[in-house]
Amino acid sequence: MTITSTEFKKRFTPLLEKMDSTELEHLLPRLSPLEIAEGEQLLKMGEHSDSLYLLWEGQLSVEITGPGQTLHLVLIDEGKWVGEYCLIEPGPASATVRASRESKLLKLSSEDLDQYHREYPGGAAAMIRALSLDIAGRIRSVGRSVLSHVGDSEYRLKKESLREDRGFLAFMGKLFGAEEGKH
Amino acid sequence: MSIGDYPEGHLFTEEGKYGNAMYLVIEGEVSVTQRNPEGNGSRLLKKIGPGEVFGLIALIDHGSRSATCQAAGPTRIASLPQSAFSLLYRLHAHLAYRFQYLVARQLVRDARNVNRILYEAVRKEKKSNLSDDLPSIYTEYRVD
Repeated sequence: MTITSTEFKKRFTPLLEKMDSTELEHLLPRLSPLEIAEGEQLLKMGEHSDSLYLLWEGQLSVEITGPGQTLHLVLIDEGKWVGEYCLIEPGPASATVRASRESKLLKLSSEDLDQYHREYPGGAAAMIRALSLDIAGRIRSVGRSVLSHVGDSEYRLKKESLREDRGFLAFMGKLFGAEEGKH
Repeated sequence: MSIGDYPEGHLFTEEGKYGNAMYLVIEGEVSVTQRNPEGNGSRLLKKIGPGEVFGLIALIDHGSRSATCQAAGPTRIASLPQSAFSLLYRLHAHLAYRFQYLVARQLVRDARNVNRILYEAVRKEKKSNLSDDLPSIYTEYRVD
């Protein structure tokens, strides 16, 4: 896995808006490469995590598990990422993520990000901003189109959104896996 | 950032309108409401208290306000307009990072909350064949 600025920029363009080349050069060494085999689990739903995983190569599968049931949601392709919620606020992973193909990833933990921001606060702010834009967009689109409010704190899925909106499952995937969703 | 005292009923954000400031509650409570799609009135989504921020999403993505935020009683609120945020961002990178991080963390909390709501809604709906619908939609989704 050769991680160069050029190769990184090609894959993760949305992340790099407002980040200059020096900031990027100093971000790369803080990313930890890892490889996982097909079928191997990266994240387990409910387990504590504190890292963002950028998908350099391969493919990931996102699923949510309930009592006696596993629901496959979406696939994640190269150039996307999972785990940004846990990077920003470490906590339980909201879905199970496994490799649907042999995959190469770059990991950034909240500790790594903290250290990076001390030296390159502009770069760190740029990255957080890019992730925030993504999250904000998802909250906005899913909140309105998928849920209808039934009394205080009671929500029901809009049935019509299931049939007419092919993107419904994309929404679900985005929110559950979520940070792991197909963008 | 400017701090002010606002009486009950004061409107900070209006659903559907463009806004360019974000707010931090110092004292008091703010009601967050959304119009009912059917057109009859609005519903309360949540109440925001001291230490919490609101008006975030529109500040970041320059979209229209997704909800109406109104003082639920006497309040003391700090507001930060977009222009000041942009200036801060350019001049003080450390501060920009800290602020951006605060915004991101609030978004993550909101998103996790929507996650939870969706998850519960899905579980409830299983009685009405939703779990049958989902895999078939997934299959449909996968065919491209």
